[in-house]
Amino acid sequence: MKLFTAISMEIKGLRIYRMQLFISLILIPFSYAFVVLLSSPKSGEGIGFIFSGMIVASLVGSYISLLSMRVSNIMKPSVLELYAALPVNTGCVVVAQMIVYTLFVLPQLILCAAIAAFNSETIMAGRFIFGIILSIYGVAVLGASIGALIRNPFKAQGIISLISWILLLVSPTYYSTTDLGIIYKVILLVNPVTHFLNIVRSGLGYSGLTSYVNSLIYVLIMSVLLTNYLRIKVQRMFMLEKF
Amino acid sequence: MSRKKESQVTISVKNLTKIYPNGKKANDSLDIQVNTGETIGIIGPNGAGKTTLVRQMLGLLKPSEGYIEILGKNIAREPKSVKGKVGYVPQYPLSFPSLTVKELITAVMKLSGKESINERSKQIIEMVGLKGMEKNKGYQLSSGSLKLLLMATALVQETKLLILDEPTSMVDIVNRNRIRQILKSLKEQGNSIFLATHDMNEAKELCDKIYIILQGKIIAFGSPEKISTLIKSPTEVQFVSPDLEKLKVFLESKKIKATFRENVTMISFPELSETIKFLAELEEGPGISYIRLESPSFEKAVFNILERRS
Repeated sequence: MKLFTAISMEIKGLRIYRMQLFISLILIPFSYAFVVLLSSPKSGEGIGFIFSGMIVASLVGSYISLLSMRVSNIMKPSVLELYAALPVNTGCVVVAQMIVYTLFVLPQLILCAAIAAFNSETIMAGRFIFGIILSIYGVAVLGASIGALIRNPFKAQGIISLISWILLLVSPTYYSTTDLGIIYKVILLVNPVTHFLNIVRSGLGYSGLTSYVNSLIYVLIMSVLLTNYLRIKVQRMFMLEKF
Repeated sequence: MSRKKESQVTISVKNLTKIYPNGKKANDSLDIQVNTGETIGIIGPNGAGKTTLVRQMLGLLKPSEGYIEILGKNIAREPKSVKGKVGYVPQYPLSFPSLTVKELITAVMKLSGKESINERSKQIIEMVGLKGMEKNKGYQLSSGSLKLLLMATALVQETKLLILDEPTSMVDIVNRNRIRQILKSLKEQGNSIFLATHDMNEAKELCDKIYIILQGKIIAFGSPEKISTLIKSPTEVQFVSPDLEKLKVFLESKKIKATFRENVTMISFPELSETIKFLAELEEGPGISYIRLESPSFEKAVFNILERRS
């Protein structure tokens, strides 16, 4: 019941951010895809590759660009003070925010997944769906953790935009890695987005920079560590203490 | 007997000290007790340590020494035990910018597990003076209205203890009076109120006991009346006597220095008791046709206490 109320508060609370939502969730990912499609071969494989990349790009837009901002706002001292005497804990509010941003990104995620699947020659449905679900969780927990780490929405506005930009630029979201140099390939492998892409695209038969298992291990370890970090941050006692 | 007495304590602060990582001592060996049904005021200048004390009560900061018990729970061990048991109005008028007044109050009621939400939310909105603003979003409200909204969110939780950090700052005079009436009525219903404020009139009007803090330390405490008499304050008296010549002779005989402005005589006495004695003799002698007395007020006493100790 409390979670449901917190979700409802978050959805209503986002009314004043409609334009920001539209830009981060629709305009930027689709405009990138549009530009890339204009300059790349119009084969089904190419379209499948771009739209599978858009699945992860949409998650980055939703969770890293938006959710992390909301979480960083929650962790602000004055907001923590406001919530301190409300009958809801910070953990519940953060989970509600993760659910809300998942609901917001879901329509375009389904659309991109359908287009990618339709244009790909190979489909391993189970692996593809599992990859998307794991990416939803992994990017969500990454975004929330970034917000919990920054704890200042004013600083977050600049830092988070930069992080989103780097994550998408330094990952094979919209480009192939075939002709890249070894150093650049190593740099790409540090980026978690590369591994989310690898897991999602593996279900469509695309091979990545590293094996599916390697990416799976990377994503699972990162998700477990970040979940634990986030849990400690939002359930911490004496939240205004500097530790 | 002792068990009964203990159960009546709503807040117990013992030897509370808070030292920040930069070495600043924000609270220094504070001892405060709030009994059930009592309203306690904390007065002090900016930076005195009021907000630090409140943040420790809410479990947001950890005491460096000592402890706080709220409703029988040690906050250092169970910092989240205040959730849903304490209504809180923060100092800053912060709210949810996109939620309307009604939406926020309804949401807090739902979070508190209340029933009859519509009827009760209407009552609360009317009670705090936000009627007509139900559909206004947080960002459309003035600072004063936001404070009223925060007051409403604290009230809808129907807790037995309210912690208020300057609840009437930025609130207009009509709504300020309204809030005071609400607090009086809550007190009559047996609720305990912990009030941190700058407003002397508010503290004097509402509080059973007042603690004056300076640089983290309690420098005086007691009822407003007791605080008013803690230090000797000068008393100013202005009066008109029907016979000015007779008055001048009278003052000369008593060796009292006075200032005259037209027919008004002004005298300052070091203590209230001397003023009363003088007025009794004046009434017997030249007489009094008009009098204005500035007795040692609570505000003056607090100001003098703070000035002497700082």
